[in-house]
Amino acid sequence: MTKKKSFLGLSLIIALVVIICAVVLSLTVGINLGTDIGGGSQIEILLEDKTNIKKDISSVKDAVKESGYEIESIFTEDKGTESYIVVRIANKEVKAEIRDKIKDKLGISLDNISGVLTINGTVTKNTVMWTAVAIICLLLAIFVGGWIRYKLIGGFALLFATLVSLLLAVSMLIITRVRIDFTALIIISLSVALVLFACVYVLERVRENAKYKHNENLEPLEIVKMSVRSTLKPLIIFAALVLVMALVFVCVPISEIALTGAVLVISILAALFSYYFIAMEFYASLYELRAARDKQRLSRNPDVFSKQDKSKLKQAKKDEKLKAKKDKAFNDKFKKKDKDSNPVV
Amino acid sequence: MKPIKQKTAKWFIALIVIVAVVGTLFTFVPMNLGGYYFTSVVGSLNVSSELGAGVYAEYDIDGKFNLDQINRSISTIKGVLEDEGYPGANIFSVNDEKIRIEIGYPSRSETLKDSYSLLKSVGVGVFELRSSSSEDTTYITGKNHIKGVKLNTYNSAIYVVLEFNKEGEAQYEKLLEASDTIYVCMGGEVMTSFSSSEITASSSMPLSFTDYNSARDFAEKVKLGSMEVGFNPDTVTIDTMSSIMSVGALTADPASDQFGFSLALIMGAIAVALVIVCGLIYMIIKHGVFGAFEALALLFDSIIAIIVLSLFEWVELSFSSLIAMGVGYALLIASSLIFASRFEEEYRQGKTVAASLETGFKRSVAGISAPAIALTIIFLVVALVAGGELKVFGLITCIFSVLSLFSSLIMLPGFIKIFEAFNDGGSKPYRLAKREEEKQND
Repeated sequence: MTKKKSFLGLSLIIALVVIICAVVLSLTVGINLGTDIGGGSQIEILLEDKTNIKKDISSVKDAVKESGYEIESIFTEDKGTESYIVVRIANKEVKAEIRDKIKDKLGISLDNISGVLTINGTVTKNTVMWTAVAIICLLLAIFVGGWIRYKLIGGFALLFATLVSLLLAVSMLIITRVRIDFTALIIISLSVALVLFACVYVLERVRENAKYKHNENLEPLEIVKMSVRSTLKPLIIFAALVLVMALVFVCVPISEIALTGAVLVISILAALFSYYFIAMEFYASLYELRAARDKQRLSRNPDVFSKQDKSKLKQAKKDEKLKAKKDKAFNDKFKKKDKDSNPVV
Repeated sequence: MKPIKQKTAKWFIALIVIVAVVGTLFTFVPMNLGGYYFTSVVGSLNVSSELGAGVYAEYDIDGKFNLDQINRSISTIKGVLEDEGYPGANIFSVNDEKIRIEIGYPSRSETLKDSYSLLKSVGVGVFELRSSSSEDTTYITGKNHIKGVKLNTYNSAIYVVLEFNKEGEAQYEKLLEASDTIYVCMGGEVMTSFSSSEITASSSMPLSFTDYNSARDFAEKVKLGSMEVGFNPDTVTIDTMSSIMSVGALTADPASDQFGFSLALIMGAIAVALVIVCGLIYMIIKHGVFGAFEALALLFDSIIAIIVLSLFEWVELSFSSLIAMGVGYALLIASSLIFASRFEEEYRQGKTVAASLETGFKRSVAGISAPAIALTIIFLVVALVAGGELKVFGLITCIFSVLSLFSSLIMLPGFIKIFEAFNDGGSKPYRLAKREEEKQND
């Protein structure tokens, strides 16, 4: 049987290149963070005429765009009897000239426009530290859980899949310069959960298929590939439904929602790549390696049995002893009968 | 999956219809019941300022403080707001001169009063203990001398225990020597006073209260008044704001029809609905009655999820909550598909419909349970440990992970069993592909 080509090497190279590019980009250009994480700027514009808010908001958006900045959010707020348009930009270095542009577009006095206020992000060093600790604990828990249920190779596969999908999703967001805010981090965690769901589902199937007698003669790689194939449909539907949701968001004319949709698409694609091309290939390789090692051990020392074989051997020996006892008892009974019926003279 | 009799099946159908109708009415439909207006369970869920309008508060910082001090104070405020049921509150500093809080506009009028009152208490000013009403006689200030505030009950009395640091202990001793009366002040104003003649100096001071709510209120004011950063209580601004994620004629005026309108909420609901519809269409086309019963199972899942969410008063739906719901419904459909496709696999191997349902169910249990349990544990930990939006997101995903177990292992097989009582083993309703021998016979 011809061995199917493994994409693990190529996939790992692609993943590594993506991660390295993201690291280089974050060190040189920086990461595009949302105001809730990295902070930004806020401008408040007093509304003298509240009857045409829609037009005013549109003018403010044009003014900010022409100044070379991107609006993260725009909303209105009341302060007593006065109303303001509040603009937030995910950039702490917004120049004061933006006020002039807004003043010209709206045709209002400069006194009605506040200075560029700096917003500080809510994520502190403490938060970053605790998040890192939480991620490490989660990865450990996944590894231990996987080890208990699916043996060491299963634990490693789950750990590797989770780690790669997390790094890939973050890297792809950094490379595509999509704004990373709190919602994006939540979506990344969702994509990691998706990979975990898929991997656990497949590992259960591998565990089941490996037990069947009619699969005894199959190669380990074939069992894994068969399990992956038979579990593909629900996973494809799961991913497709989430992509449907993402595409709806991408089509919404609000930049924050459209960006969230883009983040969802990127995260799901990263999850699919991590699961299919890396996680499953990695597990299949480990599975094959373990089977080859077991075979080698058996061929060197045929007396070395696996735990399962040892228990089977024990049971067989017990059965043999019991049978020998029964035979002996039967023979003794038969000999006694024979003696009684044919006494020796 | 043991077969059931038609008579039993009929009773189950009647029960399912009653529960579905009653559940749907109470969960989704606002009703007027003899003068009492019931807003429906889904209507009582709070939404954050992302999905609806909001309330904001701005506090001018009194004095010069560095960013670390401001961030620590923000953490204190966040903790207090979370305890009061606002985990999704957005809190940040503006120009290092102000602190701004944004929360969702409450769905009930009585909660709006509480929100305003809570936001007001954030800017309450520094907590002080004095020997007289004069400012010169301040011995203990919250930020310098109090290291912690606890609520204790002892002999059915409720105490707020103020814990002093070393300096605070020394000051407390001096305060007791200086006067027989201790004056409790917030923001420079005397709130209450009590006799200290029978109190002995120690590292903590218990204050007794008649009811739990007033004790908790006081404890929170002390925590807020003990922050490193002090506010000017005269310049606090609390007012309304429009939705952050919307377009067009935004308004912060609660009297306006447009107030609270959020395109994000509508698009989120459409996205979730599309996930459900696409998933069900696929299941009905590919698996026939499985799809139809999955629709019923999803209705029950929705009712249960919304009721469970409404039990947590602190839940505030944000945009990430809608995403979690969409993914949750995708998870429900995928889990049911595991059972449906396993059933199809068994049928293709030559078994009868009944035998395929039996073995398909048994063999899909591990495949459905293991990933669902893994996700439940992970997101339960997130819901317990995290704060804010992440807490709500973890709770929603945990609920849907548990529901995927309930739906795929109990509800869907149950509905199929009821159907089989009338179907008599026919394969047509399941839209099963013809097996090899059937094709050859044809």
